[in-house]
Amino acid sequence: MPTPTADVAHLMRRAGFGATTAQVASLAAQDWEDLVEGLITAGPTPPDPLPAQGTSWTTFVAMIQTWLDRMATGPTPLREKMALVWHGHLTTSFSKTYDAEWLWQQNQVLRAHALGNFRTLLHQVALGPAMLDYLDNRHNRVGAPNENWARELMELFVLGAGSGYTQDDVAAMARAWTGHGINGRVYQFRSDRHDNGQKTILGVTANWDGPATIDHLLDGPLRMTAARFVARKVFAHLAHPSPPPATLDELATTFADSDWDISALVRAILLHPDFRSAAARDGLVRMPVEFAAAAMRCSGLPASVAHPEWWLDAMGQLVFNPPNVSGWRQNAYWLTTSAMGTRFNMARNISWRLNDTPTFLPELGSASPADAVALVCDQFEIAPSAATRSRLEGHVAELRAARHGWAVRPNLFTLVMLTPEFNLA
Amino acid sequence: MLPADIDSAPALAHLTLDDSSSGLSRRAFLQGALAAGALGVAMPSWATEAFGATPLGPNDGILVVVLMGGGNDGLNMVVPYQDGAYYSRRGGLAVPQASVLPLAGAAVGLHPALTGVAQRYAAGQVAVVQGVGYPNPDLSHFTSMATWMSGLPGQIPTSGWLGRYFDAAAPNTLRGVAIGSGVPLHMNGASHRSVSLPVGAPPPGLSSEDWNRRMFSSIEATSSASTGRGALADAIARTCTDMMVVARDVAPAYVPEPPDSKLVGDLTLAAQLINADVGARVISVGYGDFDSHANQPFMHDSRMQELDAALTAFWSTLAFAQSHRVTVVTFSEFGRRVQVNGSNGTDHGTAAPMLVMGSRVRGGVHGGAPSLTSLDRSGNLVATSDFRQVYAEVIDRWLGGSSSAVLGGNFAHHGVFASVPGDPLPGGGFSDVPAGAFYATPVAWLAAQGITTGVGGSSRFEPNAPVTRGEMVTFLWRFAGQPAVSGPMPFSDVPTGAFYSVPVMWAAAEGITTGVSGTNRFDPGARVTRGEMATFLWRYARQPVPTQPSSFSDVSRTAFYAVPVDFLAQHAITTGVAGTNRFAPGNQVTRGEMATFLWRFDQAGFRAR
Repeated sequence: MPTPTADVAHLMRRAGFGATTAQVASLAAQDWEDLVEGLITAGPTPPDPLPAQGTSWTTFVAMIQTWLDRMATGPTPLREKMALVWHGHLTTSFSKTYDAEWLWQQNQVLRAHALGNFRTLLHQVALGPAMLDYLDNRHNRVGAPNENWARELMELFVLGAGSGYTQDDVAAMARAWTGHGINGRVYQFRSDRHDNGQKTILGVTANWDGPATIDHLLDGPLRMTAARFVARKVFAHLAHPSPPPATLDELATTFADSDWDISALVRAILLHPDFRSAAARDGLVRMPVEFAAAAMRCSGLPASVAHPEWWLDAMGQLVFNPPNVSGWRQNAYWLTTSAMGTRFNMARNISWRLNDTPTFLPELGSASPADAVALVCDQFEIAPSAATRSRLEGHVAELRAARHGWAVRPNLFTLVMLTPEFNLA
Repeated sequence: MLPADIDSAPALAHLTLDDSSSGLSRRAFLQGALAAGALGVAMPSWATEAFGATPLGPNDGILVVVLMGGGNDGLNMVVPYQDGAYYSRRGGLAVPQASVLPLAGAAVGLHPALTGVAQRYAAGQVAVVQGVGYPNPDLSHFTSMATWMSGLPGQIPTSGWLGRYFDAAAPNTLRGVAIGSGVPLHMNGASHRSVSLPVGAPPPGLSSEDWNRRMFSSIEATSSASTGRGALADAIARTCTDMMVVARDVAPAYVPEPPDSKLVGDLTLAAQLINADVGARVISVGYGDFDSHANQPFMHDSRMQELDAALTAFWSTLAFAQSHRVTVVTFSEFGRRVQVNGSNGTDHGTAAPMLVMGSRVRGGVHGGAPSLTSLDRSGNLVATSDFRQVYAEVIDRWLGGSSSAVLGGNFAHHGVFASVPGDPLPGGGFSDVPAGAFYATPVAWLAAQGITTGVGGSSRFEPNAPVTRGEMVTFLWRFAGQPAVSGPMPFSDVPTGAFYSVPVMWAAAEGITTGVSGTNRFDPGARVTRGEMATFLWRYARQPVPTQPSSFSDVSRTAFYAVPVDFLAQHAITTGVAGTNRFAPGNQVTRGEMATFLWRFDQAGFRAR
């Protein structure tokens, strides 16, 4: 059974970063389950070597550009979307590590396991140099524990604050992770730095060693707490931030029963009726990264020309550099006057580029206001509301009446990227 | 304890902990954009275009909040250097006794990088509130920060403490301003949303080109009709509209361009916003990272240097005339553990000091010092003050709001404010007006009335300097309430645009001056004598006829100032030169004397005209 184009567009925005109007029209021939399955199994995943050699800074910039290009036009949009979700969840930042290569190694792990197994993902992230450095576990030694990683593993990554563990669990968890550090540039376990004493974590006393505690968090007494916590996070990014409790229970059970198969969780979310509810369709603001990726695809400009790295920081979301260990928030968090000003600046910069590209919507200059607005809205992948359409058409007519007809192109490109419709996810 | 799933509660969506990352210069990326001309902004044209900002009332206090994200080590900022337990527990992390900047009369001193703060402390302009925390601390960055920002411990944080103050205050788009890309929770209320401002280039929204202006108008109109796509779409539209309104109002504050570095740039912009009087009651800035689990010394030292440099930049940028309505308050979500950890760092802690700064604070150390030996079971300090005590005082005293409404309870003030905006400051707050001087009270009154703003907007009054005729009429014009005046300028030597041009026109129109006898000149740079001063005041009072002559031996009955001096003597506005029966009419009047004459003149009831 074909799928309504509005549903396809919604799916492509959430399980990716959007799709062209032509792509949406062609995908609409498919049945909803097939569309979802196609996104989950899309491939092959492009190779992901370190984007550039050079200074840590130039590498960092190249990493941002490479990932944004992949989000905008790559063949595996859902994988990139989930890698971004995990990046905001299992955070590490360039500001602390100053090591672009470590962050890229972690990004490879996030991408490889974006739709894989959450248990494996946690194990690999935990022992990657980026995380060992970012949350200081490299300094965690017997007799001199460092609680940073231990606390955030439970509070931010697996269970949630106030979910049933205590400060004593944090202290014991820190002891369990002693000795897991970095030697040179790679992970190393040093048994002489490991605390081999008994530790009680979530009520179980043993000679706990770091990696085994991850399984204890996922399989132990707080298994369903973890499943709910992670399912809520993923639902919040694919659908909307306030899942109905019954939906969340359902998703958490699916996730735990699959033994932490992320693709099972994602499939359950995308196939859930709540995913196509009004609350979901109007329930997310495009994050800056999504805004930038969409602006790049709609304008046909690669990152090397659109320079998303110029704007992402001031929009509030620089990839590889989340503001703190809890990552980014959602929705109203992005809606500040200064961040919107930066969305404008990026849109304006792209608009001037497009204005100098005669092959980009060449028919715009002679089109009627209604046709001009329709062309631009199609190009920028939005279905404008009546209010937006009439405002934009009014602007076209007004410019022409004031003999500024030449400005229709750049102004309309900018205005469409500032519409509520373009800025909803 | 917060609910289990607090991390994803919709409420926490607002808990912006923006810009707390360290190291990366936000401008590093922007440089590329600037080099490519991608911002396309010509600063000077913006600067002249601002309009629409609503200035503050004369007695409205301004609060600047400095958020130190990640958990600032309070024990190494305000150091208990006389307590042996500090050195035994802190080991190599302890600030050596010899490096601590001692605070007179206190058992604590400041981190060695805080030299500017120490100088202000010595001047009585820094209040340190010791041991501030919240009940039942849970050591989590996020529940702690949510608690500090919301001001409601143990509740789901859906609004911030300052935001709820704004909910009840007079509306104005710019009353709450966050600097940076985000707006932190403490600035948003149940209904009020604060705006945010970028650092570096001003926000987009102004242009001299018609085709650009029309585009900006279209963006501003985004919220005039709903898309029907729900509350978030409407919020996007409102943000677009607000962005355009804000851009028009704040442009002057971006000249000169604030410096590049994080907190220094933010606080410089904050000072320039206050100087431009755009209507902001609260400005929030933040920086970090303070989460020093490992290798703390370099990290914390550099944060302290940044704080001191930024506060110094702030106070030096702030116009003296605005400075007495401004207070700066610092906070962090928690302090750090007393015992050093194994990584030459410190883990999450509890209570920490807050700094409250400004010319009206009651300088010194407030609140009890937390014990370094009687700790809680995680080895952390037991708070001696509730953070809401400081909030309550800020809301009630500085912002003129109701803390019980905002905080849902009453919290005892520490008394950190010696006075509030509108109260006279000793000596007008000027650095060169000693408390015992005969003109100290008059100058304080003059400053509180806005009749003087110091020499060239500085912190000096220069009480012994002479008064020029241009200055004299300016003082009188301000004394009269700065009345509007129009018409031609009667004098050939008074240029339009001089600070005294309008006052001179007013004084001429009111018959207070007729210029230099027999000429069409005013001679604005000439110095005023005591005899002339008497004449100016007498004419201001509409030339009343005194009941008896004065008894000064050096006032000739034929002098032009004889009757004016009689008038001053009759109303005790002058008592002559101390210890003599002379008036010294030919002596130049000093600014200190002028202040005294004007103050007595006011007290005698001659201000209203």
